[in-house]
Amino acid sequence: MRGKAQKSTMGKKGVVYTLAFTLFALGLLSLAVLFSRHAALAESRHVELSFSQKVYDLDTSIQNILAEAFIGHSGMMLSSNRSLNASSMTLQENLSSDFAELDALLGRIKDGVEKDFSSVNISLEAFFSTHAVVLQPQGIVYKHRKGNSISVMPHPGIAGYEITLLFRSNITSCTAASEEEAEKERAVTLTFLGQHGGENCTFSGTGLESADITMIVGGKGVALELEEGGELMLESNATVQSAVKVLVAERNQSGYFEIPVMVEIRDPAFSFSKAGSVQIR
Amino acid sequence: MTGKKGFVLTLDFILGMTILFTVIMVALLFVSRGSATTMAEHQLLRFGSDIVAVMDEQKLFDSLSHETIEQELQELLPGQYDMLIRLQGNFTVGNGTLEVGGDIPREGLLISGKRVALTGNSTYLLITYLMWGKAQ
Repeated sequence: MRGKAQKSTMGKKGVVYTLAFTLFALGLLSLAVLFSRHAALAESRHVELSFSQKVYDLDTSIQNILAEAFIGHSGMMLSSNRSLNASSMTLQENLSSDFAELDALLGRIKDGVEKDFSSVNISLEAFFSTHAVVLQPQGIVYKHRKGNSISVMPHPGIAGYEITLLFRSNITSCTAASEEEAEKERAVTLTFLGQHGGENCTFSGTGLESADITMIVGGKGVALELEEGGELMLESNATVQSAVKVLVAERNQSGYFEIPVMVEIRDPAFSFSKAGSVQIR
Repeated sequence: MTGKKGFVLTLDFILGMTILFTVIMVALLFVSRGSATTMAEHQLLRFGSDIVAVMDEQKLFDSLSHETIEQELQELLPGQYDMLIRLQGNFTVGNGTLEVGGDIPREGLLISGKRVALTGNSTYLLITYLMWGKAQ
């Protein structure tokens, strides 16, 4: 009796032991399977990482050459300044502006890049229509209307302008008129200087709704209009070196410039798509 | 009887442990080999990308000179790697293709990448770079 009981107990112990050991082994085997799956996942992530690196390199290099082309052939000088009291972005150029060389170069770059990289598409139409420069991060648009005319679209972020025009001919006439803006939030400041040698045509005003400055330079008309919302239009039939400094209301961000040249990269294999404008820094 | 049972039990346990650890070791081997391979690939890609970016920033490709590019490449390249840079574009040197660097090995890990650049006289360049580890 006692022997049978002992055998029964030992048998139960053996079963328990075997079950426990089996469960333990299954647990460790699951761990091994997890390791293998992790290895496959990690490899997949590394493939995606390498793909991301290649796309980043390609996008950065395309943006760089488009920006270089603009800086080297637009005839424009762009700068931004940020101080405790105010932020401003300055665009300098000679009017009448000629973008034929720049347009041709951008066209060649577009053809070359799209031929070498089937996943890349560059859109130039928006830039060719107005040769605009966008002041970011506010989104203020500075564009060329004709060869001798520029305009800044109305924008709530515009606090004012400082405009300097250097002429090659004599200033024979200078008239200015302005209207004040009752609402403080919509008012802009304007500081204007038209100069040839010792001859000056100046205007300065704060809290403005609109202003009109008209000059005759070397027998040719020059007109500057400030409209509601900070809209600016400058048309000069005389050759002039212009510097338009846009004072922006937002003071705690560094400004940069963009041109509306869209670079789009698509890769269906990775379901990847990226599109962006070209930054000029 | 008890002694025989214990002996069998111990053998059983040792056999089980051996199989188990073999499976775990094989799994760990797959993990480490996979990670090492892909990390090495990515590191090569980053090295190559950085080297070409530095050379582009320094306007070294503007010269389209084999000697100038080769000299700078040897200065920037880490000792354990070798690299080939291929420039293609509308220029007369080499009939529009210029290759600078080492000979592509027939076997072993090889990483490639592409960038574009613009020379000082507005010539569009397609830059292809290949990078590999030197045989020890």
